[in-house]
Amino acid sequence: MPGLAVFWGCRVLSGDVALELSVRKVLETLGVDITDLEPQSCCGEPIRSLNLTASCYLALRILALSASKGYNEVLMPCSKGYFMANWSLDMLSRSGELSEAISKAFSSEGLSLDRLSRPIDLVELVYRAVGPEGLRNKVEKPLGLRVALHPGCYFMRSKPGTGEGLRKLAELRELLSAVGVEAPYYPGMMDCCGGSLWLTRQDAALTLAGSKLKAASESGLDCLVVLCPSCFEMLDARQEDALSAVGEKKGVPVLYLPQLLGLALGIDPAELGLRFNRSPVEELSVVR
Amino acid sequence: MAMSGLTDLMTMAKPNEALKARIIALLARGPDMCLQCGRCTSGCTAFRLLELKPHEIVCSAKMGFVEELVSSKSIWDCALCLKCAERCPQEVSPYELILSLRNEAISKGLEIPEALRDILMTLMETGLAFKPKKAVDREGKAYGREELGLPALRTGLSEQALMALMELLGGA
Repeated sequence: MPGLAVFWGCRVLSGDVALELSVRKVLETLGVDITDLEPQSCCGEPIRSLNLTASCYLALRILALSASKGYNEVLMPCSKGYFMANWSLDMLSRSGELSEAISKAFSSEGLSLDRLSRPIDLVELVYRAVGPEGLRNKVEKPLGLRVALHPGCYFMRSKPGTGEGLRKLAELRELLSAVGVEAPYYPGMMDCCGGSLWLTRQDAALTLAGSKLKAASESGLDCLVVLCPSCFEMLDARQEDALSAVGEKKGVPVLYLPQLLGLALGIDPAELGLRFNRSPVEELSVVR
Repeated sequence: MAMSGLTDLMTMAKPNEALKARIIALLARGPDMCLQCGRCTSGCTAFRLLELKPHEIVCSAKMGFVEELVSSKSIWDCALCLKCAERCPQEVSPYELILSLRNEAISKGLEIPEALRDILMTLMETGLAFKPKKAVDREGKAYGREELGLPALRTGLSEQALMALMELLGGA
């Protein structure tokens, strides 16, 4: 699939390399080419509370920049970036005022709202490029895990009210099943990790993350699996604080989806950036 | 919807239709179609934790009692999880409304979270919300992109984009 740009986003570029390393390695193994979109800039997500027009401008500018370089689609492995792109497109289609303001902001760079790349996420890409069958054929190490999947708000609700989330979740489960991973429902599965609340109410955000970790522990499943770097930050990097916010001690291994896929594809754990996970991933025999 | 005859009997406040119009002008899914069914609040992440009631916020906005919302602390309790927008049978997005109310509160100088101030500074400086930095592994060892076999990536906003962004921010 030539001509696919990739937008990594600020969290990845500010040191969360586990996602970038594992996405690159998995796509390489599956024979999917990606080209880094340059220059990488803010997707607007962190400034939504400050100014809606400016945050939509930043998100749409990534799609316009990508299109101006000839890419029909742009992969957004960060769920927040992916959501911002989809939500800004929804806002644009319903608000003439927004469209006018952004067209004006685009004009100095010769960008246009008529030429935008389509945002896609990792699940859609893998599903379309190889599908569950293609993935199954490439498995070197069937994982035999039962995981607590945390789809996350911005993957599940990238197009709220359309039923898109459930369709995406079904595709994700098919991919997981292809690599020998079962992702059953557990209480709290659809709950928020608190990532976006961190900006304004840190204690409450940690309580949400802690509740999620507790739910995963109590489900008796092997580990938590996340897609989004914001969820990863709350559940992995801040795990100690999140656990103490809800009076828990027992750590929960947290893996990125592409790390899990990579392990099944027989990729060396070191190449999947597992040394950058703070949670006790060594508890999983597939990692050792 | 003309509701100018209304008075809030608790506070004697009158609706502010002009402010309401400004708050909802940009929204894709504004409050006017709300039926007060309460599905948003029944699924709300912040309701369980902080007693945020999105259906009440939507109701007040719909009736034009917007100043009260702009200056309320509760709009900052929203987790931005989008469950409200997902659940609404009327295509209302309390999520969008709350963001717009926050925009207004910040532009009036009523409130700006410390973390957001930092992000804005970094954005103006680097074109990213968080500064690019080395990755640190669980043993505390730092790695540059090159050491990890990752390509160097150009980052940032062009001069023109930065100007356009500042204009949008200034105009709010």
